[in-house]
Amino acid sequence: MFVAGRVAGLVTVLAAFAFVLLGLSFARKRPMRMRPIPGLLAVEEAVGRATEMGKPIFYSPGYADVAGTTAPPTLAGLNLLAHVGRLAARYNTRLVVTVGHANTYALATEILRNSYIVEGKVDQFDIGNIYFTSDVQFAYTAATVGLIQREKPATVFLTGYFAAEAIVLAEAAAATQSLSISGTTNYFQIPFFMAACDYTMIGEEFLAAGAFISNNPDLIGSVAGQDYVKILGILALLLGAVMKSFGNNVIFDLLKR
Amino acid sequence: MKTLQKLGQIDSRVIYALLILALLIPLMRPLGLPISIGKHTQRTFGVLDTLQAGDKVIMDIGYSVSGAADVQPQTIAVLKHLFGKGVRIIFVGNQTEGPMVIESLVKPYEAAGKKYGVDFCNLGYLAGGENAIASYCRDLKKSYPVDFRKNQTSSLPILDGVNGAKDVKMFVFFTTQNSDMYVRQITQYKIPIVGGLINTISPQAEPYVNAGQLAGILVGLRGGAEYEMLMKAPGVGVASMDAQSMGHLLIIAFIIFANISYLATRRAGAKGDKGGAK
Amino acid sequence: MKRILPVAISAVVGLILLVDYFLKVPALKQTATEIQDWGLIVAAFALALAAVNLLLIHGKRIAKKDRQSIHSFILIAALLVTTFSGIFIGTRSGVFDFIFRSVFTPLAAVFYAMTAFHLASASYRAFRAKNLQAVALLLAGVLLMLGRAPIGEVIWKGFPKIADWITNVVNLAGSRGILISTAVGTVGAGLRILAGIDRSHLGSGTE
Repeated sequence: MFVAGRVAGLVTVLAAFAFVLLGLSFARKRPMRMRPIPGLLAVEEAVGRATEMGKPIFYSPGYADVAGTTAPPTLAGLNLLAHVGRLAARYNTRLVVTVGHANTYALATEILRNSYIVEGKVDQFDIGNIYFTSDVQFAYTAATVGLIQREKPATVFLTGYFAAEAIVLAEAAAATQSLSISGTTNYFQIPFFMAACDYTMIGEEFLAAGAFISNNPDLIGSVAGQDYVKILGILALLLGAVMKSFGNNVIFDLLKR
Repeated sequence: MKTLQKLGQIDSRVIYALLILALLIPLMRPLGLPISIGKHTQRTFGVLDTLQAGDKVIMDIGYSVSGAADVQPQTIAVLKHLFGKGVRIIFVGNQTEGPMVIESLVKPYEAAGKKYGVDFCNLGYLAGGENAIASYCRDLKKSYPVDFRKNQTSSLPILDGVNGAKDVKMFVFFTTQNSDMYVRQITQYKIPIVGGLINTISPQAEPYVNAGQLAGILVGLRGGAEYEMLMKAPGVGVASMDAQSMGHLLIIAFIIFANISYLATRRAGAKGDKGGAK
Repeated sequence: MKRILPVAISAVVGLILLVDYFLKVPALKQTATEIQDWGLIVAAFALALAAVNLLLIHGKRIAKKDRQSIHSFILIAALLVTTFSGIFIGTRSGVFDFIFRSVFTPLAAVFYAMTAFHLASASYRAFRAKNLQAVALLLAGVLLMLGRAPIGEVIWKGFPKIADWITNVVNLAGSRGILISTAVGTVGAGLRILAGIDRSHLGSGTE
């Protein structure tokens, strides 16, 4: 019935589903609070900075697709783009966006248009400010670096899926004295963002951005459910480590099944 | 004191210029620093050395040309090893540039007498990332009805009896992305998996090596240099090690300057420690 | 229907693939394989779509005489030359080989090489001993650089061992923690998408 070597994975996924649904049901009954995430708290300040300086905001959700393993961070980046778009529309600040994939471009265009419509500023929406660069990694990087250097934004958002180009983009932002806010789930690039950007959202903090900004009970509930799964994981880790130290391999063997 | 504080305000262009010199000079005049062999390279060499003449392996060239500087020395050294033993290699590409990279890698071997379709073949690029890996591991000929040189794969002698990953002796990949997708898709076929990775992502592969899901890994440019040493055929990898050493030393020197400046500034009671490079 | 159909398709396809991955259900195997094959076809078309989109979007910029239009012109020219030489002359021809080897490869390699320079300036700017965490970051960075390059071992044989310990113990622990939490976050995001709670992939927000 079960594929060998994947039983533990199945149990984990089912447990994750169950806890996320539990979190959803709790959140619908009573309000839940999320701890403040510095990178997200700085978003409004960042947009305000651009408005005061009369310079544009630069945003990139990365060069990846909204499908496959890069989907969650790219979608999280697009969620945050919706929020930044609304702020930019509200304060009449120009927002320049680069994306590196046709699907992401289509979504980014629609999401931004909606943001401007919600703020009642649809006439300000300019599709020419959204750049679809190549989906080849370093062609996207070259185009984005060039745009940052020419546009000289006050604020740069690098929130999405980034690979080796992360440090190049972050340094391009630093060279133009921009305030930079970054976020990615690609943890190989997190140290580079930490070193080069003013604010960095690490891994799940970034995935929870949509929940934090929207204050939507369903999203907050699912984040809470994820936290319950992590608590379960920590308990299993601790128990497994103690048991293994005493020569008992029960947890270890269970996780191999 | 002001001089010490100025150490923290060096223009980026000065840093870049000095770094170019630090990298270029050792390439032109090698220092000959000794290179010890790490446990990963030793292990990987041992695993690949178990292959016999006539054994078939699938080799996935999953790096783009941008990452070739880090990973290609490993690839070249491993190819030398495998072709030298008479191993037959089925190349696939996980990146759009993969097939072109493969053609450049096999060119010298083809010129030296290796026969296309018998000793190796280039199946080309299959779009889809992890999905593509799952597909060709499941059914190679269905995923690749035609190879990169426009031959019918059913007509290639090297693919006789090879329907998927279960029919080869080993799976070798070189990538600038992560190794997860290979482990996820190939472990089920119970063949050894060996990977060549860039430095940055090698820590992510360590758990798989510890768990035995990856039989061995090569790590970055140093991994390539070490493999070249084991093959007694120093190449680009070994040549680059001296440059890497000097580059690292220069960066450490700048970090020390920056901290001297920071401490001097703090002592002088100056406001802000943001004396960054412009 | 416009809102429900995409969500329904996502949910059904996602569930089939999940069930096939974890359970041995012969009846679903064929369907799951077929769906994955469709995924390959869609991915291949996405490549073509990307090229068409590039032509359309950058063509419009050229027509509007946008201030960035010169870059669009160069992009389209390069795209067309490479595509036509590959299709009509052949991917193993001298022309295509020249474009790949002498234009594309050095340009791609340059940007990857730039990371080294940017790393140097980022390290210079960021690795300052402002607090305990910054000191830890600084020390780990310096020790790893010394441990990984041959010069470190020449200076002191202990540097590679320290670098290995930092990589295999400290870094591995931290990266496993982030990996687990990101994986859980991804499962949560997947559930929200499958259940239709989060419909950002369809261009709209949440329910």
